[in-house]
Amino acid sequence: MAKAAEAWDGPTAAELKAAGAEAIPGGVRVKGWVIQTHKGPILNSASLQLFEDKLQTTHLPEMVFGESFLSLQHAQTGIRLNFNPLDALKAWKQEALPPVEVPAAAKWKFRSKPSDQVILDYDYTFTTPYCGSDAVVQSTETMQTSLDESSNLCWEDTEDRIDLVALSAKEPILFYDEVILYEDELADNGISFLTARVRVMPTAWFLLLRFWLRVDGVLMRLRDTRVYCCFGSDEAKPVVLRECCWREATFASLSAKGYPSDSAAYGDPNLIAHKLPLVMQKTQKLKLPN
Amino acid sequence: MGTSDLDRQIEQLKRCEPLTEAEVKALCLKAMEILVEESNVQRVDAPVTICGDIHGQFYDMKELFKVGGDCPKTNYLFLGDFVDRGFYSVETFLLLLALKVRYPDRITLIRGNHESRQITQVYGFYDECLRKYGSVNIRVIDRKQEVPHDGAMCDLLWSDPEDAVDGWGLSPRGAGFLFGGNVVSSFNHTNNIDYICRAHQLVMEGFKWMFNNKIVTVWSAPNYCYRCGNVAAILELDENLNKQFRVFEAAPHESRGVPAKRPAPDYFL
Repeated sequence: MAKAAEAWDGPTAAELKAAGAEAIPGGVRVKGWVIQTHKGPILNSASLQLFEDKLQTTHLPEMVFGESFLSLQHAQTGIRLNFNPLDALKAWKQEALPPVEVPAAAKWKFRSKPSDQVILDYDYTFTTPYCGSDAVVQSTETMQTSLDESSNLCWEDTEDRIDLVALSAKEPILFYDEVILYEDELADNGISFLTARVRVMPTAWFLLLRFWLRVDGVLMRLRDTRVYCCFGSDEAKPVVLRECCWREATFASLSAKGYPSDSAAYGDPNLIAHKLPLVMQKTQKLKLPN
Repeated sequence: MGTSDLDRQIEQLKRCEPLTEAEVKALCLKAMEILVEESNVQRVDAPVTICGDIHGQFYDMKELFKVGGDCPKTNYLFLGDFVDRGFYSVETFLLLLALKVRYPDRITLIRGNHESRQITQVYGFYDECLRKYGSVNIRVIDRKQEVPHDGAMCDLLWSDPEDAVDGWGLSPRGAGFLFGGNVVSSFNHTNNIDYICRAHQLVMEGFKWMFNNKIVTVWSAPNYCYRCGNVAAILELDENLNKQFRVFEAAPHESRGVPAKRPAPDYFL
């Protein structure tokens, strides 16, 4: 996306200086972290073929922003967190949920059909349990968009919680971006997308990886991953918390509660997240590599 | 409604200025008279330029006309999906409709699956009409009816070619057919045609051949949804049916009404 002077000009030089931060291409360097985003176009035929080969499928979202990513690297510990479409789709392929039938399917069942019909049964909603890729990288020069599945980092369950009060403070924002990793319009039966948003403040960085699905007339599914790092006194030992929160509801159950049942009312996941019952929630802490 | 009125309206719409509600009504009535006389299978003579999805990207459609030539100098066949997603569905659709009324033999508009009440209510056109006119009456685009969930009309508007099957496939959604290379070959053979030209699916390069050049998808919305970075294409057929794809890019940001936005920072939680 092209940048314009309108709306937001980015942080002021004074804000960056006060935070000991430095603007770099596509990101910011602050408190030992290098935080960057990249936004590319959707896959062309050649790169689509590469994705299909790597994922062993010919069914991919209509819009895969193959080169786009959000990356957070901590030089001293070698921690590298990365959010990219290829790894997200690997996780989709692995979870392999059964397909969701659209409302028209009920009527379709009674139609005459060709006898040699093949029924395709991949998960066309591209629901993914992906909550990011991580690794320990020796040299920060290494720039790979996809990381090995065998991650060197370990996340442990914790009673700690992301500090929402601190995050609600209107600190200056040193870097902000939103990256779409993939999106599909479900052939006009709703919407499915995976996006990563990040904001970096003088005292912390915070990101939200969101998978959002609406199959019109059938169900809505929200899978949020929030990752938070509050800059402590010891720059060599960052504390990184990750909260996964999955919500889901059928249109039928919402309308039984008296909520609207037309899809037009559910354009913005932010406005309805609280109406969707919780399916899973867990908070983990990143174990620092030795 | 005289031709001078129409010409004025066309000029106005080319500047992306919407018409008054009364003008829209008159235009729609006139368009309806013309469209109901057209048959379900419309014969179009070459030379003609075939265009795919536009999706309300008005300034990109102006690029299309720059590349393909103005109507009526160039004959056009639009394969539907004029509205939704983009910012200017109203102006896009009205311009095409006005051209249709002014030059009925020079431009053919066929209906895409987005030209239906149910779909536009979810994907933007409906809201845009409410915003720009305070009311919605999009009956004119009904091919005498709304799209049913069964029968030939539904199949025509909702079926896609699929690499993974040879014959017929059923979509994992449980509704909608997919067709493979064999189906296309036998259809082309039975109907004595060289190839099928269709739209409806996004292709990064603007057009895409499948099944040994038996079917081609044409996509005419560059940088779809203002973020995909894809190019668009139109297919020109000369009087001898020789093909030439013309590929074009999105209109530069300065020429469209909407400024490019750097995402405003948001204290999301």
